[in-house]
Amino acid sequence: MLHVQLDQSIGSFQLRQIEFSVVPGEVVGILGPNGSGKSSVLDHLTNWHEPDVGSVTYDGRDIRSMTSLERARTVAQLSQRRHEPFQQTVEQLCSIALYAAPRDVDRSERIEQTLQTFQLSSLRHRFLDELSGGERQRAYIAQLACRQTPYVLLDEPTTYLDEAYKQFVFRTVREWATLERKGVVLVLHDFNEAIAHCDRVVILSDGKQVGVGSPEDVLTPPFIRTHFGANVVTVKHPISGRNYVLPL
Amino acid sequence: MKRRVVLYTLSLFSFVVTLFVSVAYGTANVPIEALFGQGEQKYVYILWTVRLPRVVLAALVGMALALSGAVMQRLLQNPLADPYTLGISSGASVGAVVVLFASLTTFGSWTLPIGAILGAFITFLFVVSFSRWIDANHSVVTLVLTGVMTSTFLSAIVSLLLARSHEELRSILHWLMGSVAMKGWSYTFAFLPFLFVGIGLIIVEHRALYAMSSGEKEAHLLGVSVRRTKRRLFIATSCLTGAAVAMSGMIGFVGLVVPHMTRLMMNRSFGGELPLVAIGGATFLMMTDTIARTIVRPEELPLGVVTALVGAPLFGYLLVRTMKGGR
Repeated sequence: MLHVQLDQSIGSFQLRQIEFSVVPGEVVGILGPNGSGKSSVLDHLTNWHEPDVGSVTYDGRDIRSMTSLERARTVAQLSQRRHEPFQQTVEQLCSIALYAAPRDVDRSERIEQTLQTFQLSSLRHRFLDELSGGERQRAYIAQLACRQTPYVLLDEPTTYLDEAYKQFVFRTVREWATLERKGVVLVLHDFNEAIAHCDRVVILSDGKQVGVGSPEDVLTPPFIRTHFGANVVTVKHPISGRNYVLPL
Repeated sequence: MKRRVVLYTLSLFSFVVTLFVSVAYGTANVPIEALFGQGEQKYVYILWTVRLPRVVLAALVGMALALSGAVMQRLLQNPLADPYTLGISSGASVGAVVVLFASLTTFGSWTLPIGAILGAFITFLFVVSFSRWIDANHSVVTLVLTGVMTSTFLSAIVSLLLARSHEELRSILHWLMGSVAMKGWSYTFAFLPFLFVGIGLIIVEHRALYAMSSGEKEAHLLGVSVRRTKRRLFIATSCLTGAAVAMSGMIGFVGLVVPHMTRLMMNRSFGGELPLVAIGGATFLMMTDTIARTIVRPEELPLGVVTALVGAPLFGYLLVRTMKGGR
């Protein structure tokens, strides 16, 4: 289980009263208005920042007590904006992902399997900057999968993607949770995506955690009006019966 | 992959050819058989005591500068980075120029390289400590800016000493323009430990270095200990650069351009360029040194000048071929 409890000051920005857990097999969404600190929280989950107060523990182990390699074998992250090295191919992306892989892993086999699973075999020698946005994201998701970590973090994985690719991302993430018992954390913007795909959500506002629980319980119109400044109504999905929100 | 095999073969082939050509040609042309102790003894003597140590030193210095440049370019994620970016070479220069200016002979003929190494080392300590003091995050930007500030200042000191020098002027200028001549085997052997340390550290961290191409944060996420990797690689480049400058003066262009030339020849292929860069650097400097000592023989041109005169058009040709030949 991933357990997070922290307070942190980064420059003039403060994260306060962050506390939540992620259980293997669960998909947890982190939402909040722009600048609320979602990516900063994620940075703590990979020890890119260390909290002033509190801790991040994976299965009882404090992340600060792990070596870089141990940490990389525990949690993997897909970042929002990436600086792509010039002329990197899809296959090389997977290859470098195995930086932290233990010695006994058969790297070429794992790369083969990953490419096949994500239907990237025909694209393996293509350069990342030549791919479409959706194909590139598929490659990055494949890179994430390649590492086979028990916990994965995805920072706004569906921005700029078309509907088909969005569904691909959420389908993959749900498979990871259900079939592979991974603990998944998603940073999302869209309320309805969170309602549809997350088991629980954590809501941040101006660096402070203001809500945690199931999406339908937390993301109510009054709550959204208070913390997001947006007016919405609840609408029942005609088939699944779940409560979604629509702009007013 | 096939292109790699071709490249490696070509690379090693040119290295060997250049090696033999360099050994044979110079102020005195030496027959190749002298390499194996055959033929006239005077040629054997020239080859083994004068020519070969020079050629070997050129190869090692070229390798060190090219590798150092390639590592700096990846580490700083800047194609304009070169081994001199952090100012270590300016420190080496000050050390050497002070020795020449004051005509110091405390360690006999070793005073000059020792002075240069000391200068390099002190500068390294200063640059690292200073940037660590002002920036707890050890960001490379801070390091680079500190290096720029330091090297500018130290270069000014060198110019100052130059301006104030009289009889030492020629020897100072000569040293500054770079040379591998008349150093003997002792310089080559003295260079080896620094070469081993530098190359050793680069080998240990080479995968981390490739991971850092996507940025420090991505490398961190992949499992690289970014702080440790940077520290080791800066030590490696400082060792290689400081020792290279101490042994042979300021030889420019190699560290900046050989990595690019190598990558252009690899034509859009990511990673794995370091061994080719090393061989390329060695070949390039051997070749330019041979040109430096044969083109106006029996006199010699300064090595640092020839590297730029030869290298720039060569680079230009490669650039045109690659860009015009389609992406």
